[in-house]
Amino acid sequence: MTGDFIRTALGEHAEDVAGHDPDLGGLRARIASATRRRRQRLGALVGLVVLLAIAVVSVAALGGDGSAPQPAPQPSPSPSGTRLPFRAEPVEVVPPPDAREQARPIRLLTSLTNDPGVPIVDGVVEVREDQVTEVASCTGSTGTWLVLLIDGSYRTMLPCPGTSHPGGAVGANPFQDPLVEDHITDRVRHRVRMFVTTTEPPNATRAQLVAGIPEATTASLRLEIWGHSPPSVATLVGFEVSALGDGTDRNWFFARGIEAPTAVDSLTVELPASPVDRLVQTVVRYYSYKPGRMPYVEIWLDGHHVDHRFDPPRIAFLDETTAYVPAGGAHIVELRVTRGRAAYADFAAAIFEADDN
Amino acid sequence: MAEKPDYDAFVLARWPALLRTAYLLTHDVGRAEDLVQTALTKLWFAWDRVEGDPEPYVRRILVTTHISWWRRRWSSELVTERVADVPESRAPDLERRVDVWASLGRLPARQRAVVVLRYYEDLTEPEVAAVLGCSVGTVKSQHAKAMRRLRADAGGIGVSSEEALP
Repeated sequence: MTGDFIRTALGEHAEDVAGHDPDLGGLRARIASATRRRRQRLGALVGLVVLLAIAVVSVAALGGDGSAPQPAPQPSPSPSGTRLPFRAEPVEVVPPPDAREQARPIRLLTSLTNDPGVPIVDGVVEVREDQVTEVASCTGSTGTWLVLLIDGSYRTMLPCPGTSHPGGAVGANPFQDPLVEDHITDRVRHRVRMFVTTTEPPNATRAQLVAGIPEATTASLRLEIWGHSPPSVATLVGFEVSALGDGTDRNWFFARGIEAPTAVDSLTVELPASPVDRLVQTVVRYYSYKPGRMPYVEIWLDGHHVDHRFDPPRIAFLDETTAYVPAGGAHIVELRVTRGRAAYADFAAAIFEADDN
Repeated sequence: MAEKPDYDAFVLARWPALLRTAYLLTHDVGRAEDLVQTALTKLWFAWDRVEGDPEPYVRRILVTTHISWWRRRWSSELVTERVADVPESRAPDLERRVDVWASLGRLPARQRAVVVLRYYEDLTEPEVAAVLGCSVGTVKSQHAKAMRRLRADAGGIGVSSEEALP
C-alpha cells in the first residue's frame, strides 16, 4: 500500500459527494438562529452585569473587609470584531454566589424502548436542551447486534449479549460543547431508528444489516436521551461561561476566572491548596488571524507543560487548552501565548472545581 | 442578517471542496454536510477578523470540529466503521480501494485527519501542523501510527507486505 494508492482511494471516494450542492438557505437559517441565540444570551447577561455592578458599588460604599475576592466589574460582552476594554492588570471574574444552585445537573429527558418481541423501534425525540447525550443499550439476545440511527445517520452498533450489559453511545447532538455560547443548531426533532440484526456490522452493507433483522427477538432495546441547559453566569474575554460543565461523567463548576492584561504574552495564576480536583482552562478571543499563525495558549503547571486540547468541559470552541490539577497543595500556573503575536488575541484562564457529591 | 457578499461567494466557490474533505473525515454524507455548515457558520462570525484567504481558517475549524465530535462520540462506544453500500461485483483493485476506505474509517479522528490532509489535500507536514494546531513532530508521529495501522490492515486484505508505505 503506497501513498499514491491512498491518494487515489481518497480521490475516488471524495467523488461520492459530487453533485451535492450547497444548501445556502439552510446555512443562512443556521446563521440567523445562532445570531438570535447570541442576542438572547447577551440580553440576559446585560441584566446580570447590572446587578453585579450594583453589588460591587454597594460593597465598596459599605467598606468591605477585603478578606474575600469581590466580584469584579464584569466587562460588557464584546460584539464580534470589537476589542475589549483595555486591561492594565489581570481582571478577576467571580460567578455570583448562587451560580451553583442555578445549575441543574444532566437529567433523563426521554427514553425509547421496544415492545416485547419486536426487533425495531422507530420514533421521534424532541430535544430542547443545550447539551445532550444519548445512551443506547441492548440486552437479552446473544448473537445479535443493536444498530442505532439518528436522522438517518449511523450512531452506534453494539453487541447484544445475553446477560445484562449496558452499552453506551455518547454524542447524540454534535454541538454538545458544554459551555460554548454558540450552540448553533436549531434542530429540535430527531428521527430515531433502532433495530437488532443477526448480521455483524463490520464490513456489512446497509442492505445486509436490514436483511439480518429477525422476525422476533428476545432482546430489550433502550435509548436514553440525557441533557441540560446550564445558565451563563459570567464572561471571560467576551465569551459566556456557564455554571456547570459536562455532567455525563463528572460535574465541574466554574469557580473563578482571570483575564490577562491586554497585549501580554503570559499570565501567572496562583492556585491555593484545595480539597477538590480542579481544572484550568484557557479561552482566547482573536482580533486578527494569519493562516498558520493562530495564537495558542499553553498551560504550564509548576514549571511543566501540561495542557491538553479539546478536552471537556469547554468554554469556547476554538483553541482552548485544559490542565487537570488534583486536589492537594498549592500550585503555580503559567499561561504562555505561543505563535502569532500577543496583540492579536485576548486570553483568560477559567478555574473549575469538581463536584463529586 | 447582515449581508456579506464576499462570504456568499466564498461559500459557493469552496463548498464542493470543503464537502469532499468533510466526507473523507466523517465517512458519512449527512455528517459531512453538518460539519461543513458548522464550519461556515463559525466563519461567518469571524469573517471580518480573518486576514487574507479564509480557507485555511475554515479548514482548521472543519478538522478540529471533526476531532471534537469524534472524541465525544467514541469515548465509551464499540468502534465500528461506517457501513457503506458496496457494489457486489468489483475489480480486485477496486476491492482494495474499498478496503482502504474501511481501514481509514477505523483510524482515530486525528490520524485520519493527518492522512486526509497529507494525501488528499496534499499539505506539507508543517501545513498539517498549522491546521491541527500541533507540532510537526506530532504530525509525524500521528502519520507513522496511521501508516502502521493501514499496513497491518493491508496485511489482512491480500496486499503484499513488501509494498512500501511512505
